[in-house]
Amino acid sequence: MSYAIDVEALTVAYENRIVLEEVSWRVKSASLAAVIGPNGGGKSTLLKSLVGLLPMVSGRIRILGQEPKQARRQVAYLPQAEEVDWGFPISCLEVVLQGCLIHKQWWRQPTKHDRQRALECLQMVDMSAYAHQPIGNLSGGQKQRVFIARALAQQAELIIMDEPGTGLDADAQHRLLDLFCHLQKLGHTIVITTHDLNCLAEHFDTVLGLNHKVVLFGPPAQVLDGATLTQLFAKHFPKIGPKGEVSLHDR
Amino acid sequence: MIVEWLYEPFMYGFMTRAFIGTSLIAALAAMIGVFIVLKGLAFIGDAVAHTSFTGLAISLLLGWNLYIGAFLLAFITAVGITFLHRTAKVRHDTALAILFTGAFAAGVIIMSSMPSYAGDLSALLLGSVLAIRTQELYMIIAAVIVIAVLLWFNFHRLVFVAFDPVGAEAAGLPVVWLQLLLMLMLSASVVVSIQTVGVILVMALLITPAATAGIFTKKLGKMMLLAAGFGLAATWIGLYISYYFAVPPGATIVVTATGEFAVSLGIRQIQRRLRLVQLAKGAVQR
Repeated sequence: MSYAIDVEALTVAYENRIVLEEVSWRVKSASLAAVIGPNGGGKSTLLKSLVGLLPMVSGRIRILGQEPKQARRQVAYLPQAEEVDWGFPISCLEVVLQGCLIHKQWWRQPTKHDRQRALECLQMVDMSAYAHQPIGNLSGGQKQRVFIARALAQQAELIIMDEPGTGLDADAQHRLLDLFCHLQKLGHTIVITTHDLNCLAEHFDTVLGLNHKVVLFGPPAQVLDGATLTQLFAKHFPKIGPKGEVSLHDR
Repeated sequence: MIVEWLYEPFMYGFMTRAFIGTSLIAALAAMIGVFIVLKGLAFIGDAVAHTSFTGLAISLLLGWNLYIGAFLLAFITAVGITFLHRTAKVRHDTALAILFTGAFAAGVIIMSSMPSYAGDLSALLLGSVLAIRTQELYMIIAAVIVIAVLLWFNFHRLVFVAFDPVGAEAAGLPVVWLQLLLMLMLSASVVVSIQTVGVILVMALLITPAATAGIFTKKLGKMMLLAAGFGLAATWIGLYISYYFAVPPGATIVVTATGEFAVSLGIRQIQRRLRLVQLAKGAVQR
């Protein structure tokens, strides 16, 4: 069986503080995986380690069978919204074209063929009507779609997204989840961090619960229950409603 | 009559060199300035300009080519600030202001220790566009060509890094090298601009045309072309005013650029008011 992500006993420290301790985690190719956990529990650190943005103290990471830095061109990392300069004057088409740049030598410029491909990628995420709009003018869900189009232009096998659902309304979240399922069918592996526990069972193949260490891992329906969630969100008490919806409350 | 009036300055070699050299510098500085304005790096430009003065002073003291010392100090400053920003991730504007004003003051002391260079001090602080010699013009042309070529080939990658630095690094782009390249181009632009407007006013050539362009468009390509246009217009208008009214050319170019900014802001405000009035009229009619 091939794994898009294979992490073994990963320990990562940030500013002399251990953020991830002995984390082992595997994500099958062409699957949907979610990472959940409390704020500061190491979700973003894990994702950044996967693309070689943070050095590890010990352990081993294999991405698509390679070292993280070697696999970078086949991996698209979509950072948290606040890490992007949305005020920068750039159109959606130009953002998607950035995906084409990744495979080119430094002196090569985007070609007509690249522009055509970028437009096709925008069409795949239902955003072609916004091709020439500045990306800063779009809603949160639309911005995520444009970034996914960039990942498609990059021909990324693995798409890693840090909290793509933040700030989206219910409709935008559902449309994004439907897009993830569509991309999965096309063979892409999608990994996201999320605070929305309700979408997990329906859409995701596996969920990793992280609070510096692995607290839970497996198919959501099997591993998510009151006891594991309480253990994961130590300071916030998870409450499961009559329809199975999960909400977090302060103790 | 007008043609003669426009042509007259070109009867003199020094004015022709001033027009050519300053036009090239203004257009280039304005395009680099767009990145500086959009990324809020004006303080880096200012620091680079101030420390380049120290480089000029050291060059004079040691008998080096002026531009080499200025460029070295400017580039070291820009790289130092970039790494400080990447590694320390702290507010460093206060420390920088102390450092670069200190370096500038050291430059003034070095210059004052060489009485024979009193004239140079004024030229370096305020520019000496009319004193551009043929050799300097060649150097400006060479610098502009090198920077323009680097900008052309790296434009899309520089935009990627400016817009989404984390995503760019994750995708394997050489983010550190691209940031250094931007700093190199900034340093070179500052150093060649010093000849025109001097150390004190050099930021105006970088920032003002770019900021003026930003009033009219939010598209990067258009912004760069407009910025170059505003830079060129300020240069030409400034040089003509300087020629016919016998006022300092560098300062006149900067005042013209500031005037362009003020007028553009006014035009934009009037456009907004008119649009509001039209909307209000439409609402009343409905």
